[in-house]
Amino acid sequence: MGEIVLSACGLSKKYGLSYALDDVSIEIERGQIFGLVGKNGAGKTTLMRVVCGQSTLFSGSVGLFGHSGKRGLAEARTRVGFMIEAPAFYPKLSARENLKIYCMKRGLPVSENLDGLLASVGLPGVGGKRYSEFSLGMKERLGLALAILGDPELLVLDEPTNGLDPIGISQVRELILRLNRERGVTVLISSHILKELSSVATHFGFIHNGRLIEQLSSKELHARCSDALSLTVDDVEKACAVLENICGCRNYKIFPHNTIRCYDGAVRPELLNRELNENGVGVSSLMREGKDLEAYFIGLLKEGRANAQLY
Amino acid sequence: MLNYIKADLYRIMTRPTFYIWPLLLAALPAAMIAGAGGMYPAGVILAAIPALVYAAFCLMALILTEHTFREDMQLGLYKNDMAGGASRSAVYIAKLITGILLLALLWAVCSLSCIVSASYWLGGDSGLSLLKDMASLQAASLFLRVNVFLAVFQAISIVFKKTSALILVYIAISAAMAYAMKWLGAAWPGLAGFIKHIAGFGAYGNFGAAAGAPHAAGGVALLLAPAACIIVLAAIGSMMFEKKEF
Repeated sequence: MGEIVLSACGLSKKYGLSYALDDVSIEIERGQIFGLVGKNGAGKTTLMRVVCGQSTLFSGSVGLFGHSGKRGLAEARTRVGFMIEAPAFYPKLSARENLKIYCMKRGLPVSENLDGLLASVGLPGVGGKRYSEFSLGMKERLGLALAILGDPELLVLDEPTNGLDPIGISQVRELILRLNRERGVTVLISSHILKELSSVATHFGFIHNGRLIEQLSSKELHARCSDALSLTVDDVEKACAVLENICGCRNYKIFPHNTIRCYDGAVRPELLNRELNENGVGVSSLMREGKDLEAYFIGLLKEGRANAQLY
Repeated sequence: MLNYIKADLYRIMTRPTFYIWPLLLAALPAAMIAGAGGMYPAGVILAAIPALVYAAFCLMALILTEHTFREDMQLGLYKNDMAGGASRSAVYIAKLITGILLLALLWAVCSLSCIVSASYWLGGDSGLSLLKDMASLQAASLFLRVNVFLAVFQAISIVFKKTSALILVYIAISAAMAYAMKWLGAAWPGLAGFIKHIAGFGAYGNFGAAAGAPHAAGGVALLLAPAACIIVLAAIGSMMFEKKEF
């Protein structure tokens, strides 16, 4: 087990009478890219705000790099880069001046290569432009530049691709993966674009109504999502006989256009293909059909509702 | 905290619009002295200067709070500071110190303008007399009382976002203080006078009058009372800031 970079234990946060976070516990190891998945108002941003100290806690504790307590956390937060909700900067100052001010505030050398930093987030040559003249996407990118200012070891990014064009989304993804790969930066990220999230995250946490309902690695997620083997054959009857008698699979369904879906995870596609061919069944397609992150999440919520109805 | 003060001073002082204020604070007394020079005796003009300076700086305290503290609040910039690992109290106190430093700078510019103008329009003796007044303990006390306003405005800003609301709340507090003092005056005349002096809610300052006031006779107490008031307000504001959601 690697070093625990971020740990949260029994976090609860109340707004009025309702819980925005309800007994949330989470552990993120060094080098992980942890994707936080949840609906609007599920508690993702609140969790991030609590971690970065923007919001106060009702109960529970947060640990960063093994530090906890007010003073320890304040010290540890200097090693963390945050971008939570819409970025905020001085509108009348240029991008470079805004970053320079934060360099001064954080005790970083002002001579730091700010133009290089801006270029790395896709803002080359606009260092002298006022923040108020920036487009929504450029503002997001500047927020990201502030987050990675000072080479943080942990990045907390809340919807970092909001307002970005497809090229921008791809650049942000590349940047996150590069920082993770080259500098070993640990990332806690949330996004509404679940497809995007699934392409970068190594671990996932599903949050619903302030509760962390599931936590799993991308391998586990992949295994759970890949739940059907879909094959199109020229002879359905023969294919079913092979499935039942040779592969021992009884959990399958026949669909129109000679398509069969096998829901038995133990059946290996390469063996099935060989057996079908040996028994004279022509296979025109054979593929693993699975749910994507979005479908898995929706399924999880439905299960949650079903469980809630039981009690 | 020093990094925050340095960054804020850099931000405010590199803004061209900031330089309107020292120019205005230098021009205002100079214009008054030049305009009234031929009409009134030097003594009358010199006596009016502290009241003018005090009134101008009370307004300046509000404007500086806008520059140092409220702008960040309205733009939602404190979340960046919190995320950077800054202690909330340190940020709050740093903002107050930045305001005090800027007020001191403006006070120096205004005093210099007063002295130069008095020397030029009213004669060298008047300039020298004003220089002595400006360098006195009473003038320092007056400056600290202006800073009490700064601390009050900053503390109120945590709760009230709109400047108009801030002014209204300040007027309401002043009225409540005046009413309380009227009531206290009947019961304990000495205590009411003391509160009126330290809080700066009473009459505009006057270097000479302050020196003659019974509670000011102690000298150092003249500085300690408003200084204590600033510290208490800073502590209260800091505690409120600790609880604030960003």
